[in-house]
Amino acid sequence: MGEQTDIIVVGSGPAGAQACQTLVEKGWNVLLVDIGYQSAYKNELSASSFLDLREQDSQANHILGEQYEAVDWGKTQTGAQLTPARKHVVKDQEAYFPMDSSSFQPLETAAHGGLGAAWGAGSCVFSASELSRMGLEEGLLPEHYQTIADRIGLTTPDASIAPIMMHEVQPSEASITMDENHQTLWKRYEGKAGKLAQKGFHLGRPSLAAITSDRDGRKALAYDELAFYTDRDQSVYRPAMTIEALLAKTNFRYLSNCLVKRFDEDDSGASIEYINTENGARERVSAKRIMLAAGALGSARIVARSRSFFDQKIPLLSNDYAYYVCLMPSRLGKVNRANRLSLAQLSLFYPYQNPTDIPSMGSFYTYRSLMLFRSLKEVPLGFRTAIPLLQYLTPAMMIMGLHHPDEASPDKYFTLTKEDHPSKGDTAEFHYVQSTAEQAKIAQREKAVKRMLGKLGCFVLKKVKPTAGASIHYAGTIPYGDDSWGLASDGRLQGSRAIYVGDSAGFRFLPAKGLTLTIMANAHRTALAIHQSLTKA
Amino acid sequence: MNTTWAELIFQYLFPGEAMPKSIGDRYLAMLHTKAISPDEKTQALLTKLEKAPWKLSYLDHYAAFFMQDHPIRELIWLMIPIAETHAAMNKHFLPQKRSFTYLIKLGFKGALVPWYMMGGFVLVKMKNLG
Repeated sequence: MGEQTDIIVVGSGPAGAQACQTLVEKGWNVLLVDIGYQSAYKNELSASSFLDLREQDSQANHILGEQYEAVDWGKTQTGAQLTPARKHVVKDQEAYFPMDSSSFQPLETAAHGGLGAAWGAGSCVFSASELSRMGLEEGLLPEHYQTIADRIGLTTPDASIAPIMMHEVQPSEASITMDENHQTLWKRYEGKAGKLAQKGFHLGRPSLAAITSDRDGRKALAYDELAFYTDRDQSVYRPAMTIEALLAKTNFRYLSNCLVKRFDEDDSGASIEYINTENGARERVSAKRIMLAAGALGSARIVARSRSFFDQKIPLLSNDYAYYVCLMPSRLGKVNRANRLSLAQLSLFYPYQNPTDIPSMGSFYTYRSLMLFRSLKEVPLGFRTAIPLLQYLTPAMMIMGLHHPDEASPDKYFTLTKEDHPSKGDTAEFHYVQSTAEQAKIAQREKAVKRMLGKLGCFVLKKVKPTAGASIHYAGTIPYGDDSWGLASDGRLQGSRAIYVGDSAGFRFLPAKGLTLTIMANAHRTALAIHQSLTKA
Repeated sequence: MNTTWAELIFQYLFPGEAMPKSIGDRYLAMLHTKAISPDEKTQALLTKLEKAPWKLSYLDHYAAFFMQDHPIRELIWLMIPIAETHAAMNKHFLPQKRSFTYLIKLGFKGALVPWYMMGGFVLVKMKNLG
């Protein structure tokens, strides 16, 4: 075998980054391996806000991109919201993660920081009933949630949703400040909160993985509408920040431009084989333990290749997702340039009437003609008429993204077809069909949410339903359990001694709440399990 | 595609305004980067529009409803992100305070839309161009 280290972590996303930090802090030599594309537009923005940028920068490279990446014609695809600063998240997806499906369109990424590079920062703690359905025993995660919360910084949610969103975890940052659209919606909700809560409807400012006061070289949220689109002030947590900090440690190394193909085990340990994406060479590196954190789909691909699990069904979970264009008539014609935040400013949960309920989750964003041309395309009017109309309407418009829980079924899976191409991945064929009962349940929840929003003066104009997979939440591909294709409760791959999986692949059920914080907490837990196994050995 | 189309579309979208040079250059660069390949019928239509540019508004309104992916819409639409992000032009797009009477005025303008669509119908269907 080739080069040796203590632990190899595959994938630089939220799970990989947190696992690396845990293992480095415990004193192990850690090698992080992934492809690791970085943005070409890192931190170059100089203007104070997006609106100022549009008024001052005549070339607008960072808005449209040198290759006009921001301007897409045709149907809305997964990842359409990504501006040039984030477009590297979808770069070369088809080359490295080929797929074939009409019923499911996933986003797999080769980006440095994984899907965390374009994360919306919504942070949720899963309840005991949710974790139990996921295959995680009660009490397994709470302390790990707090560890992650302390590391990355979380804002405080409103009391109306704190028991649902944060449970016992204590955030360190103050709540975000809302813009006037969200404040209007919130004030109306406050007046009817009691009655709406009885019907299971809860609304409030969410917990975000962001900071509202300067700390550790990061700057507080500037409310300049750029927080989601760039990492200029590091206000929003990104996994790349953890990796950047770890690079200063002598027991941490990072190898990018590596497409990991497979792992192998023997009595002395384990190794991974990867393709160097710059020169196409196949190389190998070995370790005492390997942790796969390449995402539910990426990790499953690696395990399937390593075990020759081709043309067999691999289970799959993904939250159902749609977004709704809403209008608040009371805000028509009014504009404010203050407190402009491109992250979710309000979250809703429905139905939730007791602690064992598993709700759907909605997130509200103000649509502010950030890039008006994107909505102009959808309006069934000539452009010269549509431009002034949208200029009037968009300040009063909001977008609500609504996620629903997902559970396993025989009709949700993908298979991996072996390809002999020297550098690209094997082709994944997805099959994802919801049952009639699932669809009916989702429709019932959507109807109830729309009705309740109407009571708050926020009316749904249009529903946009992307193809399944557009939620970019995936799980359950190697579920916790005793099956040979499964994970032990500590994250160790069944049938192996040295291979662990630390991302969402193990989750047997997928709640609607944002899962990134749970992924990080679980990765921390799995890393500690690796540490314990090495300490005992 | 040539400079004439860039000028035509700019005049259609922003009548009476002088086209800033940087938009023209950048727009052309964008057209070359994101090539539109019209088929024979569409090319014939575009050639006719070049000779009678006032028909652009008819076709734009008709295509917005019935031919959403038509290359003519894409041509016009490609101009908009450039204009939206250009300091001299973005006053047309930036959010501004508007009164309720402004909406009424828009409504009156909107009443002309069906007439434009009929004109577009004639242009496309009667001339067998779509």
